Amino acid sequence: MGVEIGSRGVPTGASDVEPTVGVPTPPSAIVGHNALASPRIIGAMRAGFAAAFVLLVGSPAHADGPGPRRGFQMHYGVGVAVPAGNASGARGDTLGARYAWQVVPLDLGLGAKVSDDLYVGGVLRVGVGAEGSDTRVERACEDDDGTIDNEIACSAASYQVGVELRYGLGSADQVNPWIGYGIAADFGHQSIHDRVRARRETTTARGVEWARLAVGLDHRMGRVGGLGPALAVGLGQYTHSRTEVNGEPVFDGPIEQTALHAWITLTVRMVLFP
Amino acid sequence: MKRRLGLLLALASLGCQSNAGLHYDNVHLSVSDEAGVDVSPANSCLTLPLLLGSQVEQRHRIDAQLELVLHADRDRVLVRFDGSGVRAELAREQLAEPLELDVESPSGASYRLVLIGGCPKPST
Repeated sequence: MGVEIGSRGVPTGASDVEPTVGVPTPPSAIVGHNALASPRIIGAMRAGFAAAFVLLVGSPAHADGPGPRRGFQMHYGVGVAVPAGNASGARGDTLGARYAWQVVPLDLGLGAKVSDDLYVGGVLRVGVGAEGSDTRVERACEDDDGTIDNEIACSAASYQVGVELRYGLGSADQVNPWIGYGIAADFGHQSIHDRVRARRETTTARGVEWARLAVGLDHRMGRVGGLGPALAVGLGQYTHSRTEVNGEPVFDGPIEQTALHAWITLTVRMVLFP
Repeated sequence: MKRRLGLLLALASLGCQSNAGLHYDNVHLSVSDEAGVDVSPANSCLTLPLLLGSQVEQRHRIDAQLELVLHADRDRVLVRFDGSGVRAELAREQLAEPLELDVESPSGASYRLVLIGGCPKPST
């Protein structure tokens, strides 16, 4: 009970099948010696292969977009960062208790588009702000003595230096949504300066930002410049701490109880060669 | 004119208000040997830090085989001895009460440590 090849009027030669330009033709469609290979099925298979090709290799350039670009790319962003989670496992030591929300005056990235869709680069981020919500520090930092001079100066900052990957979902288009992942060295810095007693205490926590998960949207104005918003959640852990008093280190060592923290950052980015 | 002068004087007097700066909690350490002779380290005062997350650590060698470690954050002071299993903790609220510890060095010598809040002069 074998199947009779060619007995149902099915085209049997490769020359009978017109291949579509730019889409690989499946071998079964070329051979065409199967009883199931009717023109409708062959068409469906072609469509399936075409869809798989597009999914695997990438979408074709949109006619209205500036087209994809490879090579050097950089971005500069500004925004705000909101703390979440815990700076350490000690009671009450939340990231928000140490650091208030911060202005991000510098979010600088330098790298390259290694393919039409994938960007790899280094990144430096700086956030600056005031002391956090801890009531003892807040009270100490308040300048409420009625004098004009600010006798107690408090400040806080955060830094991340690392690498990031971004994948463009519309790299050829005018509007390019993207997703990103980054890993970085993570620093949190706070300072209180008592000018009356001439005592400046600073503490810098350092660790790793294990995952900076980001989404963004670049509006590409040609192939040279772009602009768009980005939202990132940087999940990190401080592992070491260094305290200085008047510039002299009084402690430099590991944090006994580590914990997870996050910086939620919203920026506006200008992109060169998007 | 008089009103301006008055305003200036008021501003000047505000500027002259004294401000003592911030309050710092200190602990003073004293160590004596079994004969009662004071063998306290030279820098025997520790100021607790102010910031959340700040830490201070001092190490003092008591004798060849015994080292005292004072570790403080803004809420507590920990005392431990490298060379002996003795350790103790003093909360910031308890600084007014002296903490007394007797410790024996691996060398066989005995020491008494007293930790109490307050120092003649704040230092680190």
